Amino acid sequence: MRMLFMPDCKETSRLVSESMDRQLSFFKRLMLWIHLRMCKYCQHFAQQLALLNAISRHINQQLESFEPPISLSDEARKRIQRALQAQIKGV
Amino acid sequence: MSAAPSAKTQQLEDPAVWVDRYGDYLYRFALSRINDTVLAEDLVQETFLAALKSRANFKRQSAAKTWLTAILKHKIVDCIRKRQREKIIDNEEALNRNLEAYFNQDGNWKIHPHKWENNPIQHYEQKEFLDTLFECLAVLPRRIAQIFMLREMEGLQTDEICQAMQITATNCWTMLYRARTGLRNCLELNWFSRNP
Repeated sequence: MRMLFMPDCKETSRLVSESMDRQLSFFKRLMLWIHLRMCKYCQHFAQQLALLNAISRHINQQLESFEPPISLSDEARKRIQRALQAQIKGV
Repeated sequence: MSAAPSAKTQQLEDPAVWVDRYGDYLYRFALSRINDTVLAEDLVQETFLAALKSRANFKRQSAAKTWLTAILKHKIVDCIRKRQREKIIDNEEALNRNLEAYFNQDGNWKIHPHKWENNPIQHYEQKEFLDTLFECLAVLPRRIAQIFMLREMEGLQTDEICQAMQITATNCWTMLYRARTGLRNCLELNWFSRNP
């Protein structure tokens, strides 16, 4: 049973994503809210996208904390340095 | 990002000091995603060379390290793509068909999204999770993966992305929708169903 104007799950999934990138109209937000209240699967979907964003935003910090610190070998460092210098001279 | 006055006046240093200043960090980052020291070294080198070429695009507001890391992330995803070439959904239409399969004709879920553990820390503390996430990014069509990384990893606004990728806002929202949904589907299949 669906209310008139009520978005289906597919449309809802799209609205969930779009609401992360721009302000939806009041009407769309209302419809989204109502659908989410009624639909467990779309709730899961919305939580999953939110989690995905939270994880992606933290990836940089997460990677900073790796232990033990690993370093480039001297050999690799020199090689990269040389490649870079060659390019700089070429520019 | 930093509000410190030094950041405001930040210049991109002389490329000659890049290797000493950022080499180890980038190497660690690359190695954490690609478990191969030789490949990781190559990626670091490619990152510096690419950075040198696109120095004009460097924005002073962002730290050089952030900028270099962003370049490296794209290199990493490209590298993983090469490794699993056979799995790649190589065009956006194929991805779309893939996504459509999750819904029935009435627009209801055919394959139900499950409940995930909602604490992000639970996931990103596990290295294997990040491996899976990067692998899932790598099987997406290249542009779709790129747009997701710009939006969610680098935190760009959609209008900045539209400008950078020369697409309309509507197109951008659609691509982000496909990226998020594609990633979600892939993670549900490859991570959450195995690590409940």
